Amino acid sequence: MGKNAESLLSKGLLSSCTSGGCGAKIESDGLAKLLAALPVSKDKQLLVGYDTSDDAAVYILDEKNSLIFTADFFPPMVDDARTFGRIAAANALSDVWAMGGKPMVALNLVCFPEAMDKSILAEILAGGAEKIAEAGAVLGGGHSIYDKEPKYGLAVTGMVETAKVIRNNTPKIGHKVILTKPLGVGIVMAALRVEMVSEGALRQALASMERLNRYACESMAGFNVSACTDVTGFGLLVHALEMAGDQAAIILDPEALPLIPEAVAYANEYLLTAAGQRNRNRGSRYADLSALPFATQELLFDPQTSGGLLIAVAPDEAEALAARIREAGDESAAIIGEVAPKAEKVILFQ
Amino acid sequence: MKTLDMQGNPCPIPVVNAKKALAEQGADGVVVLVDNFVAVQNLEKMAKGTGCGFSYTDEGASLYKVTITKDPKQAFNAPPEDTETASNAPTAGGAKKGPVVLITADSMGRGAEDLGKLLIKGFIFSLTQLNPLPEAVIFLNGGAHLTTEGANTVPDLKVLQEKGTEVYTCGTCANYYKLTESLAVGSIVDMMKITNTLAKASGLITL
Repeated sequence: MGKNAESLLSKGLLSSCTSGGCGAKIESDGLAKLLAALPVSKDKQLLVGYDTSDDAAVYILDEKNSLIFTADFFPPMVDDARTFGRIAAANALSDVWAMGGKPMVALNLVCFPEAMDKSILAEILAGGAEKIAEAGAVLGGGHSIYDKEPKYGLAVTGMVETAKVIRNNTPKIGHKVILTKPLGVGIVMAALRVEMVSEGALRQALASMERLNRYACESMAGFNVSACTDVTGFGLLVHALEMAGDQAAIILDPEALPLIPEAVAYANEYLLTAAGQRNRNRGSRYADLSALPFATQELLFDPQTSGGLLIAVAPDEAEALAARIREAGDESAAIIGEVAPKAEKVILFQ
Repeated sequence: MKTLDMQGNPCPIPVVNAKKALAEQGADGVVVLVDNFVAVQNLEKMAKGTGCGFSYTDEGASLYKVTITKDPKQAFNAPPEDTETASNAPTAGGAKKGPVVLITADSMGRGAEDLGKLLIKGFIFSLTQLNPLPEAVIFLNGGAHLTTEGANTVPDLKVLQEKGTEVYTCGTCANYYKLTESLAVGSIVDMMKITNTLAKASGLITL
């Protein structure tokens, strides 16, 4: 393990946590049941609420514009406080871009152990502030409480033209599907936890998690995009399942998936997360994975902290959009499949 | 056999340590104590992927005892005459392979329907007491209702599943009754899987 990896494990931030990053999310099956018991809002101003599993809430402000509201926070997945702050903020801001919007104001959400050195918290917040500034948003305040395990994230308000809101479950049949970041960060961070990670894999995973989805979102302007979501703790397969909705199936090309190369080897070494297995328990009944290599299966279920955007776009524009996203800096962006008519299995493989 | 207490350790730590223990010279296997079922599943993937034998018992109070043996024959499907290895491997319901149970309706027998529903609940409970436990319980047609949310048979089926019995619901049937989203236990399988399971069964009970 290299110096960078050692410094990321040095402060005890990670060891104070039982699960980190988006891997700490409550499984979607469990959540759907709880939410189904709540009354659905009848307010017509609420364009997107929690009755769909969309990324953020959208509230119609006036004839032209809508507000986007989202919040995300989680325990550390790395020990370096500033890195954790950057990743948590990039992840929390992402839902605004997944809806096609622009973040405006962010509020810090902080849980922190009473006994832990407050300079660590200062570093976390500094990392978050870096990403809020890069997002073109302002920090408007926040709320902090004592807790046994540290957690950090943001509540974000964004703006979008109401006519341009992009939902996660409205893909048009025939549209191509693009993924903008490589899969495997969950497995790489599992390798970090057991000190089996390579310097190169760690660097790639951290760069991917810190990378804002702003640039991929801005690249979509002018393209015929029918659906978009960000890939996070539920892994690519379950997010693709949400995108397919009731009306479509998604055909994935396992050969085309952008991957962190070492993640394949780590999966074959069984450096697997609990969240990945929870995703498998949820998603495997909608897809027949039996023909795929074990590592590919695991990468499809791998929880992605601050993962990329999954975009459905018109087939004749897909190559151009993927190229524009790569030019904007997400070098791994690739066309990974297409939207097909509803089938017995929701996720199919080429 | 070495025992690793991995309670409180998140994945992948239990799997990595189990692999290390298996790699030690002279090791014939390892017993791993974990506090969540997902860790059991990750250990199972490693054991099966590396050609090892795998079994586990639910010890209650969030404690699972997983046994991984380097010789796969020592695990779940060990032949009954191999008594020594069978007693070494704490398997769910003993080493002998139990029957496959095929349930094709949500009530048992012909006559009063409420009586039939009472009977099937009792039947599924009594499956949890069988020794050896059923290898698999397969739900077809109206039987698919018994594995979905709200069915009073779900708790006993979960017990069966945790002890190692496969619980299968026919995908076509779940789809037909629009139950796919509300599956509460086991997994959805296709007719090929059902046919294969029936064909390989050591014994068969059909309702």
